[in-house]
Amino acid sequence: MIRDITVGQYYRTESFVHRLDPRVKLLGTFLYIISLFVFSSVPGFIVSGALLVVTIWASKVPLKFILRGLKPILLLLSVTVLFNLFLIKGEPVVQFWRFTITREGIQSAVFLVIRIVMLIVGSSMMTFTTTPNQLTDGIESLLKPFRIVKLPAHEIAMMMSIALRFIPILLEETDKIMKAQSARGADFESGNIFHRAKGMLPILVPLFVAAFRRANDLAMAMEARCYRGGEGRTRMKPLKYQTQDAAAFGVLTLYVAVHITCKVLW
Amino acid sequence: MSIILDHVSYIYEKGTPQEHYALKDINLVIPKGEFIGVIGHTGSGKSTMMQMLNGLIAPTEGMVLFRGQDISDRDFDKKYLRSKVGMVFQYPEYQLFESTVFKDVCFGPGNLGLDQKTVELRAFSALHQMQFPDELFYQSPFDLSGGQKRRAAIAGVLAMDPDFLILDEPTAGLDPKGRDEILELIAGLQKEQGKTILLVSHSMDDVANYVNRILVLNEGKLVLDAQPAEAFSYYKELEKIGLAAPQVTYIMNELQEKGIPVRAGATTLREAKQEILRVFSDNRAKEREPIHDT
Repeated sequence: MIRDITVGQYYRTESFVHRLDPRVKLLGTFLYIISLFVFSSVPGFIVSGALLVVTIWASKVPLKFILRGLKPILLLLSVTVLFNLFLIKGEPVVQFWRFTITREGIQSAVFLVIRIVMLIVGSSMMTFTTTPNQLTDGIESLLKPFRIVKLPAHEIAMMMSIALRFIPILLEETDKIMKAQSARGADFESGNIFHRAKGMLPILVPLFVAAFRRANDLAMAMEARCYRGGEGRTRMKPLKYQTQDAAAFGVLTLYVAVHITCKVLW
Repeated sequence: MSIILDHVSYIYEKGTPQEHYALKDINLVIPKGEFIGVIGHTGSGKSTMMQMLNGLIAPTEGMVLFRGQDISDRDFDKKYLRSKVGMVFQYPEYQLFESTVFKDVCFGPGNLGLDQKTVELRAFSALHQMQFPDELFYQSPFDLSGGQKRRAAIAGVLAMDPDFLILDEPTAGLDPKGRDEILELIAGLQKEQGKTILLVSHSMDDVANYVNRILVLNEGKLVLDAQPAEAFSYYKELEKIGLAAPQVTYIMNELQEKGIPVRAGATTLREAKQEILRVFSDNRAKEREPIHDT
């Protein structure tokens, strides 16, 4: 189950999109998400969809892998579709028993599905093509201007990369503790919800203890290597814009321009 | 009453390109009362095999039989199995969670649906068997020293009164004194109560001192199943798969190569000492006759 979730995973391959500067990808994704909400019309979706298709093609991430990431949100999608279909008032199309499906309902359901799918696929394209380290470097660099308002950009980025780094470790730890407690006869599957919640205690307590222990060890290890925050810290791989990043910015500008033209013309 | 592994295999990520065997065609009978050492280096499949014995992992192929019943059967009582086959994981102190040591030890027997009195009795005797000091019974397990935590955690499994006890590196991270104490207590469980012990370890010296049978795993296969003396006579082969024999085996073999007539089969320090003394006294007996230089 946990292995099925591909959102937020990195897909290792060599491609144009993988080589792009993480800042370009972050800004691009941000722009793309905004555009999905601002230009939500048929031509708007066509333009956004076109950019997505081009990005997927240029990233060399297999379509099957991308679609697998949509599986966990299927439930969310179907619920929103049902709500939209039946609850929006307007011109009735189908009517049975107490339910009416309206023209407006269908339209809004379809729009919503398109928007959510493009949103998820679009943002996961960023994580598929960017390692967590690059991502946090990019975030740190983008947040730097906000230092004027005392925003601790480096600390935020460091916390993010540590949190990301620890997800697989804690998952493994959870698995181990669950097995150990099952071996002591613990039962996590039967009983009502309160019973089950209480049954989680033998997992949660050791898990929290382990998390604190690891945090402590890590803090100690960082201090032992004289870590003292981001001030004056240099990087092994500093972020530098390349020609390909200029090209990507060009594509993004063109994308916005086409969107605006479409909006004006229709 | 024994555990039988019949052509057991375990395949990771079956049906994907990363498919690989963690265990391959294991056949094994574990009768009651033995003290078995399981050795093999990281990734050899020993943990997978141990978790199979009490049903935490189901074999992909083959069967694990307990009392003649297939433990993968739908109607097989897993809880019963786990009460009879106790499993102490590596660093078991990380699974302590209750507010006092005593309550934590009660968790295992409590899950078996016994009445409160029996549960407490079992917890009490398990802690005693692990020679856990009385005055610490109602301490928080998180305030104990490493060695005490380890004892409390092992007692937590022991309180379920299993006939088979699997211990995955129970001495990892302990000092030599703590290590010897824990191993002595475990050996006592086998000698006095007839429990079957499976001890997973890296340390050949630990294993050689206590066990009467050794299983060697390499790349998911059971490559050796023999008594210690025989197992360690293959020390050259063991080295090839990244393992080693106990230090005394090396000393005895080197003495033999130097022309001193010791038998190389000694696996413990005590046996080695006796063997060397025997050779010395033989030599002294021969001293009356002229000796050519040896």
